[in-house]
Amino acid sequence: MPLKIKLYGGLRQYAEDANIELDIQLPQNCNFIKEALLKSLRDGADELVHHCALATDDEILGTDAIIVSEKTLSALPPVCGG
Amino acid sequence: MNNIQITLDTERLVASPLLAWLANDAHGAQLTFFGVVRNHNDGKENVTGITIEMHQTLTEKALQKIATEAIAQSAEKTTRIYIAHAQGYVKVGGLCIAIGVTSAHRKAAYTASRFIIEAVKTRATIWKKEHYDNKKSAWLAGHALNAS
Repeated sequence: MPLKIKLYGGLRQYAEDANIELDIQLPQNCNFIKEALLKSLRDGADELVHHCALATDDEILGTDAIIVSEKTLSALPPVCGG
Repeated sequence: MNNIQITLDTERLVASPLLAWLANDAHGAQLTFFGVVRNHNDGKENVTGITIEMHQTLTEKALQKIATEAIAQSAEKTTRIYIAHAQGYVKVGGLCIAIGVTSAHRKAAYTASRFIIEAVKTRATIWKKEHYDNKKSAWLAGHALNAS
């Protein structure tokens, strides 16, 4: 089942759509998912993907998190609120 | 009386709700911080506005947690905190963020206010796209959420 990634902020300039589907088998760790995300984006997203965090709808995932059965994640680039 | 008020506004952010909420007869200090879009940034002198995007659920959680921490750290546990953040397009001169803190004395208010704005900048899931008078725009750099 594809894993849907919602792109936020500057990540969207590297994709046709705000949502990307990754064809990967779970469980996987965040680094693997970020690598798969990077491959699906246009050139130039390396730095942004490297520094982005993944999140479910309720929480930001740690870098060591293992994604087991989520269907949708958010990719959150470095933030600048306020 | 609720000690924390968090508002994420899609309408134009204005100061009056904050000022009304701050009123408290037991508090001698009412401190406000307004973050306003300025017409220059990072060497660019032609900023016309910004578009603010956020992950709404995570931002609400982050702001609630930040406000809770500010009160927990405060010497005055009756400190009250108001945080409002804009969403969507904000032109130069418009409000991005409004922070209000009330406490019995000013030391606690100043400390909490500074803590809150610095925490919002590094922890709230908010992004800004800056617009220029040449019709170009650029996403602003920020703080990585998982930075150690």
